[in-house]
Amino acid sequence: MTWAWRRAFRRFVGDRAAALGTALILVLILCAVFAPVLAPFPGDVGDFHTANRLHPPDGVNWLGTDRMGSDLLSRILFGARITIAIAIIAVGTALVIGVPIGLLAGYYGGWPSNLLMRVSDIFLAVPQIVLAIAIAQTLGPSIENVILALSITYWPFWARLVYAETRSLKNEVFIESAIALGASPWRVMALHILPNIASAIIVRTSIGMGATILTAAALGFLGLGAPPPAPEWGRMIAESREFLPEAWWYATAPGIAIFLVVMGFNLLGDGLRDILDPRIRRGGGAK
Amino acid sequence: MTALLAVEDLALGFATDAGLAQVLDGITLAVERGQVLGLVGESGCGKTTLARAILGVLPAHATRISGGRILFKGQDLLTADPETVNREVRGRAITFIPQDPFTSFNPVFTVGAQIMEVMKWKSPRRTEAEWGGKLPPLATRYPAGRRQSDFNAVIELLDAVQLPQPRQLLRKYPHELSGGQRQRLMIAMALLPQPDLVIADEPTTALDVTIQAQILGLIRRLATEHNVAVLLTTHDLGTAYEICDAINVMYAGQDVESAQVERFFAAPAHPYTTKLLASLPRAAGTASGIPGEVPLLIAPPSGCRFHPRCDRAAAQCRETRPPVDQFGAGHWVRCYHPHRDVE
Amino acid sequence: MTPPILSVRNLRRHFTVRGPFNRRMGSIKAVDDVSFDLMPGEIFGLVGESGCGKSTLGKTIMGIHRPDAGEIWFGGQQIAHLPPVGARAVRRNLQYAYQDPGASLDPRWKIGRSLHEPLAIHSALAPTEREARIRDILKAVGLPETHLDLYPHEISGGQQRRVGLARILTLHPKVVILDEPTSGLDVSVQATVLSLFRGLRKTFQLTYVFISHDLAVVRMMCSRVAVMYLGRIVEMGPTDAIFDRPRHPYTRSLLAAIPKIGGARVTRDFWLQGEPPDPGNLPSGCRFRTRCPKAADVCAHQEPALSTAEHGSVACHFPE
Repeated sequence: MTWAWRRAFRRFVGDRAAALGTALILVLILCAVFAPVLAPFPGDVGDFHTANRLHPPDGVNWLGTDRMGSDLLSRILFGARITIAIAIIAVGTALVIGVPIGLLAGYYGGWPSNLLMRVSDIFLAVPQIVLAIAIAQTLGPSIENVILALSITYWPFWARLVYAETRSLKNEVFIESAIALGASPWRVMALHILPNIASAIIVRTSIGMGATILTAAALGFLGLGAPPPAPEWGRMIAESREFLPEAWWYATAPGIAIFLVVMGFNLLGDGLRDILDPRIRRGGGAK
Repeated sequence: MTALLAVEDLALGFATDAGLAQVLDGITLAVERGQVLGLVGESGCGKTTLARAILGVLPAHATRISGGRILFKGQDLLTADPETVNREVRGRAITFIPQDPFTSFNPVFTVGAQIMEVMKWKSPRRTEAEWGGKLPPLATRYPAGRRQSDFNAVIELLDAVQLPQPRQLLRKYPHELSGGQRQRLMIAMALLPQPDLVIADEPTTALDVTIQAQILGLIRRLATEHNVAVLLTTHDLGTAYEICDAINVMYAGQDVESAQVERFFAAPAHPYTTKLLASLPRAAGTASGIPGEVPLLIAPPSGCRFHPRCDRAAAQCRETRPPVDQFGAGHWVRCYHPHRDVE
Repeated sequence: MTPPILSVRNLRRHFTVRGPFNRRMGSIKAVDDVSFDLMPGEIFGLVGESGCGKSTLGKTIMGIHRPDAGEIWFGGQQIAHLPPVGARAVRRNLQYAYQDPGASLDPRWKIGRSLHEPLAIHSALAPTEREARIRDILKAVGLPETHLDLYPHEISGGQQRRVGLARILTLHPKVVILDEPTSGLDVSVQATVLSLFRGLRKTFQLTYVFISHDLAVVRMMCSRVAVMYLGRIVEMGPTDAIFDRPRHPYTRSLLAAIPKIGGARVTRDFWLQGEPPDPGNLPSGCRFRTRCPKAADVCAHQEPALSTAEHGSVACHFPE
């Protein structure tokens, strides 16, 4: 590990906000992976015990029970799996579509890239949630459709970002000299441009995960996500509406879960930005 | 006769992430009225920092002044009342010509607006009564009578710096002017407050050689006409030869030699100076360089900072910095083994 | 008579100036009808002030800009309008060094990887052979082998410059275009860099096109010089002839502007007034006539052609 990396790592660990963010995400991942083990009532994802419905938090049900009598804590733990799946697949798909488009458009320029960017602009002109609602409505409520809707509405953001970064990087001396050296466009894009814009992409991916989860929760709240009894956090909040404000735990628990996860991704993204961007811009401390 | 500007043993450093960088280590120089003093040194020697220290525009939170005085007309600028310095010295008695003409103007205002802004605050016709007002800067009015006489002074000086059609020029934006024109404007702006001293920080480095010749000639002529002293920093010995009366050489934050210009080039004494002169390209010859590199100022060499690269270095050079050694009228060197060549 | 290694004939490269709504408002004739021959083994100087087109000329020869007209002969081949594939083959023998060769290194690549890249693109050498060649070149530029594992920001600016040069030399080119190699350098560093260039030329039998605005350096390094003004060559010839007996008024003004330590002060009586005209709006006829003390009627009507005299060529109606 070179000296610059070591210093960056130390700075990251010392940055309490970033550490908190990382911790929250790790907790999320652990919950999702070990949900069957951690949940006190793993069966409650499907079963229901109407006798036990709408109990406030107590020694048995730490977060209370919902309208079907299922343990909220267990449902939230299993819901973490849905949350992570949506976040990773939606953002991942958007990246896989948007980044190459942005690279090609930024590198080649000319009217095809203008066309691509105008198409992206059209997508970006509509708020993501509105467009996602429209798509999910058309296709019907399911997790797959939520992921599809989110990916379709998210790729233009990445295309724009990568396009702008590629265009500015293209004027750098080392890119021009690689081209002068005879490097093929593929080599320049994949081996020179992409690694140099990776930090920008990584930072925004983290923040983007948080935003995607929020949008997915909103879609679930509107009933467009997975149908019951899937323990989707947004849907749980929607279900709780008619029982408020007496059954306060019913909305609070999933709400806090969403809040913590989104905040975690945002803090992580900020922390990453601090260590990734200044190091590159400053270029080290030799002089 | 006391010098107009006398820097005595100035030592300062910058606090950085990696420690304290000792940027200036005991600098001494003196500028007489009407004299053009050249401060010669390569990049990293501290000449720009020294210029900024005299103006008092170093970043306050990072600068650590560890000793010395900057005497301007007998008053120590480092301990003087900041209000007074701001009002009477900076931009008024001491003005500044920056190095890069391409970034020294605000791109969103016309050059005329920027020049008149300078005149509003720093005109020699500004009276004590005006200074008494406690209004914030934005609310302070520009008295109409003074404005007209200031404007006439501006036009007159723009003619003196050989800028064609001054009235139309003032309506232009900085990006519409060339580097040479912008530098002439900076010279005019530096002379408008009728200063005693102008600090020119590498004023022609960014310009082409023919424009450079014009600008240098202009600086010299105007300095003589207006009886203004000039402290000129440069890394180009040719520039120093052209218009300076005396030359001080700096290396890595230390001053190493000072002489009148003719004597400087005829009989340089410090090994760094001689090596520098030998590095100048000569027709059909080879220019020798100086082995090694300029040291990082976080952990500079002890004693004489040039000793790692000097072929005359001895143990003494590593231990303590050489004291000032008077060589003759107006010529001193800080070296234990200077060149004592015949003259 | 040895044939020239590189020949440029009537090369033209114009940049269109566009106003609002992409309207074509004029063109900047950055390189306008330039012709010269480059002899093997020489250092050929291209001098001029900013905006004269010397950098654009270098980049056009190199293929970074595509020429609008003219021919470039290199290795018996016409390379001016080659398609990208053919152009790549040419790159082996014709290389270009930026003003700061260190900036040509990808900041995220280790130096070793940057040095491997030209060979990976152009040659079919096995990795071990590449490694051997790279080590040789590192030695030739005076850098230790430990540098191969470092990143560019971990070494000093001077060392970055040497790495950049080493990268160019891995392909063993025949001609290297040096674009302002000493610009912005301190005088002591400059001397070291110039002697490095000299040494490399001998080791690798290189021919240089030396682009610079610093006449003193050019005088020391180059055997022949061409002076450019606003896109054209105004005078060309052996270095001694140009510097001792300049014939074009612009060349004379350039030389008059250089401080001569120990001699008379040049700035006191410097005679060239004004500034170069707007490159998008050149004067008719000879483009120097607006500042030339000898300008006459014919200068406004007819652009002087580069005509050969005893010791070189000059483009002026009234040469000295």
